[in-house]
Amino acid sequence: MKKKMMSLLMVGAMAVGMLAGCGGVKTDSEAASEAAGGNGKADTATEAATGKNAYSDEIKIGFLPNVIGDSCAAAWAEGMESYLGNFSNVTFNVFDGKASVDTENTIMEQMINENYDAIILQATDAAGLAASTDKAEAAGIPVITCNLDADTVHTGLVAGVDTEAGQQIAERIGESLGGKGKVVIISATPGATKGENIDKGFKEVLKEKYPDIEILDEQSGEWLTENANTVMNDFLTKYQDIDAVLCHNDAMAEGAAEAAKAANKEIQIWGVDGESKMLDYIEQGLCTGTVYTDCQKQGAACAQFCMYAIGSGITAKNLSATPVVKMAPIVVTKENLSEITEDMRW
Amino acid sequence: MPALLEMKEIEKSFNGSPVLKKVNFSVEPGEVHALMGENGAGKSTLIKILTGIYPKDGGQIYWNGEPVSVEHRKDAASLGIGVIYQELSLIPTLTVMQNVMLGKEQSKFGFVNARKMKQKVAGLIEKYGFHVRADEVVETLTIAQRQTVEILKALSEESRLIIMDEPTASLSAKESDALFGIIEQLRRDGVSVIYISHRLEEVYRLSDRLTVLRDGVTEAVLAKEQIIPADVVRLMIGKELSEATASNNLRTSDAPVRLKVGNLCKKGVFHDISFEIHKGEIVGFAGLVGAGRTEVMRCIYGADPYDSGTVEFEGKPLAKQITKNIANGFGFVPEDRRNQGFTPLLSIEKNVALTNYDTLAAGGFVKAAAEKKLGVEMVGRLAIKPGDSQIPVGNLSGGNQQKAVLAKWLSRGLKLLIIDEPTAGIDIGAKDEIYKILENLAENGTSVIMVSSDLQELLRVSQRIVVMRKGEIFTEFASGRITQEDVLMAESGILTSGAKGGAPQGEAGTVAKEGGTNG
Amino acid sequence: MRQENMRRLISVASLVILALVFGFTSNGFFTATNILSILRECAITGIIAIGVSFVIITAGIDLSTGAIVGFVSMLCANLLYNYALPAGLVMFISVLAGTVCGVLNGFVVTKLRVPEFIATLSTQYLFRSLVFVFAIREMGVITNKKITDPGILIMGGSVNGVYLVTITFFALAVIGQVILKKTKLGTYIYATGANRKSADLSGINTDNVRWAVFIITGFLCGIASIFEIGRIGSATTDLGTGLEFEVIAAVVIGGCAFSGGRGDIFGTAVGAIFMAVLQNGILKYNLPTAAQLIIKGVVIVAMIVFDSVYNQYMQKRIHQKASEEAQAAGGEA
Repeated sequence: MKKKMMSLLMVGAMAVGMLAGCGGVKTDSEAASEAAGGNGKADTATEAATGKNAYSDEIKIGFLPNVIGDSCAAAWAEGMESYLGNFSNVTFNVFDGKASVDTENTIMEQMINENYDAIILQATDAAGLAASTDKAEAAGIPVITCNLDADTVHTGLVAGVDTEAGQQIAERIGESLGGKGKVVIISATPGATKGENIDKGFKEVLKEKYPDIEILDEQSGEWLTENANTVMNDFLTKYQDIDAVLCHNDAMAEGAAEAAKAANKEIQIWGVDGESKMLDYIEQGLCTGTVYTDCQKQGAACAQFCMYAIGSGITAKNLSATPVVKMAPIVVTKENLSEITEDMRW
Repeated sequence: MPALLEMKEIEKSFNGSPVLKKVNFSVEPGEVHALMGENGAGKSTLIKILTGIYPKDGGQIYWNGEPVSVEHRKDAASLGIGVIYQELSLIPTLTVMQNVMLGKEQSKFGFVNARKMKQKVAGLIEKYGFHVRADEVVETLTIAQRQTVEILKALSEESRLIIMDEPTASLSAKESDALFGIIEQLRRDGVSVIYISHRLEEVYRLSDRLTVLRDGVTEAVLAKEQIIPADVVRLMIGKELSEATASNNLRTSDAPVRLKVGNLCKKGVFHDISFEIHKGEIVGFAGLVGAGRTEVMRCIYGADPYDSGTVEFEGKPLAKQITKNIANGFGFVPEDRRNQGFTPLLSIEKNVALTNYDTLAAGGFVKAAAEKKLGVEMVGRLAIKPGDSQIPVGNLSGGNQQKAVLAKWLSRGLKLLIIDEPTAGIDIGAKDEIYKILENLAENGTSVIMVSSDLQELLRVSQRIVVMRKGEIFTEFASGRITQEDVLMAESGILTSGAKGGAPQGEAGTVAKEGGTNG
Repeated sequence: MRQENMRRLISVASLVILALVFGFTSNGFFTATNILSILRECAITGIIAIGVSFVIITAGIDLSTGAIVGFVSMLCANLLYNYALPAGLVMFISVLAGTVCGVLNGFVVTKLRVPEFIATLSTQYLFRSLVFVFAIREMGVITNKKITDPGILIMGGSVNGVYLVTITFFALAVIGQVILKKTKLGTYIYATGANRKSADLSGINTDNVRWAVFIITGFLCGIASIFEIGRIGSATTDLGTGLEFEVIAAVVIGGCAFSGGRGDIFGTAVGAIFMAVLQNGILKYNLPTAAQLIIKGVVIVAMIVFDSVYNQYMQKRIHQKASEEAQAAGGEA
């Protein structure tokens, strides 16, 4: 039996090797676009690209956030569901990226194989999700990224405020400190576009308009409250005078706020997102302000884009750059807290 | 023609006490030479020197007439000496041929030449008529078959001398016969065998010559015709010693029966075991390796299950769970003191406490003060040295460790104590102290069952001696002046005049005349 | 060999049953693309599992494989981005770096005599920290850059749908099996694991054997890294985290016992495919994350418990049979 198994394995390997000789080696996207470009190859999603009516044919849309437990992600999903729920022909499934590039790639693969008609993706890592985004687009599945972009051309991006948020916060800090002071930054997980852009906008404005404001340090809080807390504690021990902190999201701002409170220091703390908890913190004076994005509207926008793209033939092939829709930034501080009404909170 | 092996005036001491005192031992080519002697006579030390495990202190070894030095295992192997130990050392998941050729495979660029290996091994198997196949996986083999694989290993290394240490200890009658056939074949091929065993009838049947060691000295070298069991036994024990150590306190007890064992059976291990133990009696259990004494005791105590039979303690059937038995006043001091008797890293106090938590703990919490008090009390009562109850038991000397183990049980006021090899590895002075403790116990009403291979000890301490052999009770000594010879003969299946008890099943009279039984 | 064959049969049967369960209770399981997808997913775990099988058969363990992959991948991404080295050279460096990690593991275990669990746990931290040393930085902040070298990216590709990584896995598995069953090294690996003292006495250098299996594992991690970055096109700092457990689960489910001396690559391959099928099938149900993890955990634990119980049962049966035969041969002594 041993010998037989051995020979079976060898035959298998040879057969596979011969197959290899027949076609050339192709990367995923090459293979997918070939299949999509050819006619009537049933296994790859040719129908998705053309000929399907988004409002009457059976449609499958998938949402793959970085982490499903995130309040942002929940708000997005809500927005998508409430919009797509209006169309009975649409099946909407939500997955969990588990903050892992590998997992997101696996799930992308799965959605492509199951002939999803559109994918809404929040990319854990811009470079890491580029390949599967390419593959999906090549197979005729429009990919709309939400907030965290993938580093490749695709059908659309609905971005939360990033660059503008950074810019606005820089303005606010610069003004309130009278052009002079020390700030620290608690940044996002390396590789996330949103974090990179917030950073860029922030530093741009500081450099141009408030050159006397010094950025003491910048460390990653990985989007998480606990990590930001630890980082903030580190900063407080290392640096005597900190005037303001920029956090790339609210969760981290909350963590930093706790650290500042524990150390009994009065520091300006800014976040980005505008989640309900953060608004409470602002009200209590623990945080200074945030840049609010209506995440539910953002989710709905992603869904709308999907419906827009399905059946239209719009895929990365015909685009030279990813079309972007940016959400409106609303800077929220204690003064204008009331602008955010109850149903806008998330 | 020079002798194949000659060991001349070998000397060896451990820690200043001499174990081998100018021992002479030689083996001719193609002979089966038996090596016998009591425990402590020096047999295993001699063999370990021959196989390079111990260095010798004095003397010389000659191989084929040339002086050689054996300092490592490898030296012995390269001379052509192979050993079959009792604990087999095969790799279970590999085949017979892989095991035989382990470390010596024929290979090219790392690829094993399986065909050649199989040829060689199969050839040896056929030649000797072994009952294994070269491609069988070792873990499916019986112990007897595994032993043959060990022999194959030695043969494949072209050994001229194979040492076998108690090879039939775990074999059935038929398997032993098969082994004897193999030994015959080896002899015909000119391979010599050193056969170490306590079993007189085997030695008689197989050996060309017999060397008896006693107290580190070559007592006698007998040729085949000169081997008479009774004489051999006398040589092993020595006349004066035999006289000096004869028993003088054998007696039957008229105290109430405490433990009654009836027809206890365990398939393949022992059968039809029946005996009684009285209150305050010390009963010794004698027997050779493999007789089944320890197994019987473990079943009575509750450590192992048995198949059928009854055990009654003070008139009521005994529980099969150890905890219940402990609560009823049972104690068990195992043979393997180090691994089963005490916990070396814990202090004397803690070790003692282990058997006493029914009184020392309440609601899961330990009463520290009570624990401490008990520890100190036991150290004093048994004179454990050093006298500090906090010392980890692992740091004590052998004798004191045994005392610590006893302390575990004595602290409970025992009704029945089963103790297996009470003084193994303990020096003379401590031995006496242990015997006194046991005698003291008996005087105070505790029944003691003592399993022992030390004939002197059995005779010194026991009031009755039960001899077990091959899983059965062979005979019993309950009166008169019994010598070590009497006991040793009984252990080997020979009844001398001093023995009481009927002829055991299947055996007949003196073995020497018949030259072999059915195992 | 009977126990081995039975065990193989059971592994394959479990796999088939699992596949059938998923096939019938969800849709889209038994399509060509899905199956090829499964074969792709199992390959990276599988390649590393070949090496870890050797380690576990010697009664050892390696907890650093995920970190090695992370480190080597990041190193390659760094070299490609900062120095634009040619693909072939980068692949060579990848394999070399992995092998060096394996050499280090083996050294700590055999020369420094650190027990394998602690040793590879420590090297895991070491390699993971090297990831951060080599991470690509812009203005002091770690960013991930896409790998654009087509020579590397093609490694994530496929031929007529069959992925290169899958082909490589099967080829390496065959080689691994041959080494185990037909070479001296293979015999020594079994011997070292089953009874190290015995093996030593037979003149086998068990230290070298144990060192060798770690080196082989490191080498295979290097190969796996090439395919990993070829597929994903970048290297994140947490790449490979948790991979060692997937690998070990595959090895144990496939029949290698932690106690050593048992198992083979065929079993491991089945185990790797089993893990991939499990992951793939669970995703089809679209369950919440918690439920997914529970199901996966339960199945893995069940397989491992079954494996242990089965081994015990087989041992008992063997001993029973052996003593019965001995009795039939003429009554126990």
